[in-house]
Formats: sequence, structure tokens, C-alpha cells
Amino acid sequence: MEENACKMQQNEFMLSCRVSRQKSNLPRLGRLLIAVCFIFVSTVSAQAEPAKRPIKLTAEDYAEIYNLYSQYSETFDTGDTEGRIAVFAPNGTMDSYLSDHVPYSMEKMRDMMKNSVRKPRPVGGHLLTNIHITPTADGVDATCYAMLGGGTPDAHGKYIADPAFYTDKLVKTPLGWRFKSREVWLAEEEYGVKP
Amino acid sequence: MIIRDPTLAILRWVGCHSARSIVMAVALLLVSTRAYAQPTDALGKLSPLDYYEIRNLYSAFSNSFDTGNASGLANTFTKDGTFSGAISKNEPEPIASLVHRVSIMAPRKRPVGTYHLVMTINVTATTYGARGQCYEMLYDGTRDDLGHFVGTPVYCDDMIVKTDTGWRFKSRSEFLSDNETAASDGSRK
Repeated sequence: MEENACKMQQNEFMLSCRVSRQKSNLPRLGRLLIAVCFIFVSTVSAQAEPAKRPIKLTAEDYAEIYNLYSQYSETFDTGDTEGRIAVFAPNGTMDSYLSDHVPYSMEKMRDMMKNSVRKPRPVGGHLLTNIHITPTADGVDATCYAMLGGGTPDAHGKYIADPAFYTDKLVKTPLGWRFKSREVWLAEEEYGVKP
Repeated sequence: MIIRDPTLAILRWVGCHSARSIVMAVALLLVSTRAYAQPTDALGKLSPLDYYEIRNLYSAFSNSFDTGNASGLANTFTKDGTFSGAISKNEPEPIASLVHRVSIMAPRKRPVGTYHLVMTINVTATTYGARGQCYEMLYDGTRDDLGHFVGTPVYCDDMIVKTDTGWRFKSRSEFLSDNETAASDGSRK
């Protein structure tokens, strides 16, 4: 009897211990959940950078950017090396079929244009159109079409200009809008013909 | 009774003797002035930014068309926009038809095959927004015997409206020179 009473007491004690452990575990689980949620939220918010909004362009910005495109053509087609480099940001890059579409620096551009002859006016050249401007958080993404014409007539005596397409990035510097990068693809390339 | 105010004197002289008739006369004068000024307001006025945004719209049309970007092309039109050109026999068709045709083209990063080179854009303020007229050289990949690309001159006459999301084409009418020349000598197909 005594033995049975002792076992019952022991069982009751064990049960009460388990219940009390469960009672004390509930707030502990809650705290753990809160901590996990906190870590998750802080990690996610730290990873997701605040979305930068695209800048708002003014009419003056558009006017300057349009002018920059014209300056590019004008300087290129009159052999004005320093003028052409000046339409780019100092760390700007250019790429075309001439560089196998590997971007090159302004130093390289200077070197490539060292034999260019200054002309009073363009003959043929870069006729740019369809300038499409998309504001971004850092500046502007832009594209434009071009008719690229040589200064010498073909076998039929006609001056020919073929289509091309530019993909550009622009930034606003203390000196105004400048090209950060330009990439040009000629229609001939798109058709697999060596320009 | 001496009337010192010359305006009141004039009003009394034209027959407005009571305060009510004077108020009526002034109200009539204001309404008529506003009615006179209405035609100028109705013509609409475009800001420099409007002109640039409309130019950008023209470029967006070429870009999206030539890169097979159907949703981009749809976004240059109002939902009820129409397009007419050689393919629709110059009859306006819902923009969905043009968007469908472009959606069949494979999307690409840059224009290949088709180039819409738009230039000489003439924007005129109208009561509904703006009328845009432009010239275009359209290239479809055709080349001459020397391998040069051959383009066709095109003229466009467009209705453009300002929506909550910016300027959009309400209608575009495209006239290819080939068809125009044929129309003038009666050989248009």
C-alpha cells in the first residue's frame, strides 16, 4: 500500500513537473518566435535597398540632352577630337564594331582619332534621330537611330547613308549632361555583313 | 444728384438706375468678356516639356515597333487608339490589330530588319491636345545591287492626347510614298 501510495505521489510529482515545464515553455516559445521574426524582417529589409525613383527631367534637361547628341555628330564629323571627347564624362566609354563591341576609354578614343583631319563642315556623317530618353535614378538611359553616311559617292554617284542604332547612358555632371557610355550597332552588322 | 464715379455715371447713362440692374450689367460684362476669351483657351497651350515629351513618344513608337516590343507599342497609344497605314489600306483599325502583328515578331534588344527613322516632327496645339505631323524613312531590310539599304519616305498625321500617364497617340495615319505616288497616277492597289 505504502509502495503504491509512494508511486502515485511520484507520478503526480512528475506530472506536475511536466505541466509546470510546459507552462514556463510557452512564453519562451513566444519570445523565440518574436526573435526569429525580428531577425527575418531586419535581414530582408537590409537586403532590399530602398527603391530609387527615376529623376524627373525638366524641359531644360531635354533641350541639353538633344543638344549633346548634335554636338556628338558635329564634333565627330568635323574631326574635332577634343570636342568629341568633351561630350563624354571623364570615365565615359564608347564601343562599336571598331572595338568588337568592347567598351574603350576616352584615351583610346583620342588615340583612334589622332589621324583625323579637321574639316570646316561635315560631309555625310552622323544624322541622328528618334532620340528616346528614359529617366533613371542615376541619370538617363537613351537610344537613338542614325543614318551614317560616308563623304564619298558610291559607284552610281549617290551618297549613301545606312541605318544604325545607339544605346546610351547619360549622367548630369557639374558641366552639364554627358555620355557615360555609347554603343553603336550598324544595320550591316545586324545582317551579318562586315562594315 | 452728382455722380462722381465715371463708371456709375456711364451705367446710369445706359439705363441702369437701380443697384440690381447695375449688378446685372456688370455680370453680363464679365460673362461676355469670358466668352470672348474662350476660343484662345480652347486652343490649348503646350509647354516646352510637352513638346519634348511628345518627341519622346514618337521615339518610343519607333523603338517598340522595331524591337518587337508589343506591350511597349500598346503603351504609346490610348486604349481606344487607332492606326491606319498601308497594311490596313489606310482605314483606321483598333490599335490591338497593330499590337498583335508586332507581337508575332520576335522581341530583340535592338532594331533588326525594320527601322522607322522619324524626323521633322511638327507639333500643333489643338483643342484635344496636339496634332503631330512627321516625316519618316522606313527601312525594311531591302538592299540595292551595291548592298546599300533602301528606304521609303513616309508621312504621318497623328492625334495626340495627354492622359494621366503622359502623352499618347489617339490616332496615327501613316502614308507611304509608294502608295501616294500610285494614288496620284491612279495605279494604287
